[in-house]
Amino acid sequence: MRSRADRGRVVATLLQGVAIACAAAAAWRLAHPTVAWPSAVTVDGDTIRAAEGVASRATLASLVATAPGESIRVRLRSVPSARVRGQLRALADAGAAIALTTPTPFATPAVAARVVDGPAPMATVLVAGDSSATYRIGDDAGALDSVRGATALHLASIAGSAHVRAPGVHAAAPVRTTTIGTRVFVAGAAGWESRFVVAALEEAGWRVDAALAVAPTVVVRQGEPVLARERHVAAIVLPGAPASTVRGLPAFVRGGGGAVLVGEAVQAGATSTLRAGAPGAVLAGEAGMEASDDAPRHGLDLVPIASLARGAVALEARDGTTAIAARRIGAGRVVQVGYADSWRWRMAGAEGAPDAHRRWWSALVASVVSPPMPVRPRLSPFDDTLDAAPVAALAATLPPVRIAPASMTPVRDAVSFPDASTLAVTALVAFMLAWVSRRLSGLA
Amino acid sequence: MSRFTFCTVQYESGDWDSAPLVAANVIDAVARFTSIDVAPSGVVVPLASDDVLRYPLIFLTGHLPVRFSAAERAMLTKYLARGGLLFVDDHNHDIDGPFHRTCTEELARVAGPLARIPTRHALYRSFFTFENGPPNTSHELNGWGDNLVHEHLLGAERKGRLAVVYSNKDYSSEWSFHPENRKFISVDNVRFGVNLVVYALTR
Repeated sequence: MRSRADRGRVVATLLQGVAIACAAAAAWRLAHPTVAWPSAVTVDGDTIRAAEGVASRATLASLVATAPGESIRVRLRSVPSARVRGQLRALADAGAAIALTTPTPFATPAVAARVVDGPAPMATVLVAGDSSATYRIGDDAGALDSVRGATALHLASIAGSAHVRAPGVHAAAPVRTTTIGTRVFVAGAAGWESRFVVAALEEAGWRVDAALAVAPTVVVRQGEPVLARERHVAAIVLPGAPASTVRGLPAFVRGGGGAVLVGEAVQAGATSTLRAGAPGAVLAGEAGMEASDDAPRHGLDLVPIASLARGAVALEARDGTTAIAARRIGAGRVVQVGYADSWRWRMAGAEGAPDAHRRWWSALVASVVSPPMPVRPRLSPFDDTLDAAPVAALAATLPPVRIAPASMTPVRDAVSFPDASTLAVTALVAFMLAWVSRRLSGLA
Repeated sequence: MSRFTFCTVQYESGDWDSAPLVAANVIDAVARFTSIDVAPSGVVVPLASDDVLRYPLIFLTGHLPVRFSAAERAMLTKYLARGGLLFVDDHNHDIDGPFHRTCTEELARVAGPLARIPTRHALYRSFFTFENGPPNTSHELNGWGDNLVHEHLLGAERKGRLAVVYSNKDYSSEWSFHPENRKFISVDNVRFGVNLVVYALTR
């Protein structure tokens, strides 16, 4: 049986060992004043969860302030928001080593929102994504539709930004609109093309004044009878337009007005001085093609634009000939359209033909209206989260994400290592306790 | 540029071909008064056929009860939605007759209820001016001895434009004479037909 002195010797020896260890540790901490800061966070979209041991309210932003130049292991459960990416990028710029891992590859949607200019904005939202994934499409006002995979969604209106959401993923793109005047002048002859062009433009929200020749001395008028720069932003001139109504067209265009010249309307008179090219012989459309989904204008008769004027550019071609061309004259723009009888596309086309015809005409007219003043939608405080392609943005600004199964890359708790002073005090206390123990045991 | 072609539609029920001379007279009047490029002869197209989409103005008449087939109904619905204009004339000129009752019922199914077209409508001023609305026909005034005059035409709109014009005035009889006999008429009674065509081509 051990005596009291023996027990005291054992305790004293243990305490002495603790004291020596603490002293050694304190010395090591003094020699290595910057201990690696073992941070580990989990990111899920816009949410950051710090591992236990790091202040529970810690964010990457606070890490930037408190631990610049350290290393951060970031485990991504989903694509980080632009705000979080900004913070990570700031850390990296401050010298931190960023390591990104994710247990599973991300779904990778991308979104673009394109407004067909006009008085009543009509937007096309283009979504590229995983064909097996379902994406919720919305705007700043809320949800609009859901789509699968890659698709184009045509919307009558859209507010602010287009958003694409899937579980754990959010992509958004701002929609730009243009502020333009909306009053246009249509001149032509009474006929189906004139009638349906006016209808399409009015349905798209344009205010249309028109002068359509019915007889040598009779012109059916709608609204203001005379083309005027102070009223109209563009003129659409169709074949058979009364000469009196387009006499002022060159001055109108040079003064900044837009003009859409259609088919054989460019053959003579005031319009011939503005044309982008000379009209060629009529090419018949391919029978039935106006009812196709992909190339409905191949079914229309075409007055090809045979030779382009200096400065003119071809915008659309068909069968090796120029179908649409544009040029600038003075301060104005001119688009020459070779297609004739586009009304056949609207009447006999595929299911969405009336809408497509309307959008096409509205876009043609909008393209000549100047100046198109791009206006960004009113931005919210969270507009820095607008990412058309968040995965691409991630790859562009941060190190590559390493795919690591969850079981292999647990987010370890941060270890809180005592500082040198604590260790020194502990060593001192341990030495004192060892000394006391020896005294009480009668060893010293 | 495509020319205007007068199109009469053929439907399965009733007597769609009761007024074969209307087309020739309207064509003649349009060519006589306007510079509109008009085809010299009309066409007849089945209402259920896709071909009606090639003619944004179509004419339908008859005496007998009308009952559209499902295919005719579907095509007419599509036609009106795309901007076509249907002109219907009751060849009977009566009130609540079999054509009127059945045809207006069918039209209501595809175009919604018909409403009176006001006398100030652009239809009455598109070329000639008809201050009092639709011109009366000789059959209304004394042709049948009943002096039964219909003050208004009926219509239905799509996107602010007339899509259906319905008449009880029996223009089918009024415009059904041989064009050669036009020289014996002091005031051309097909003038309203010109208005109808000009309205369709300009509004």
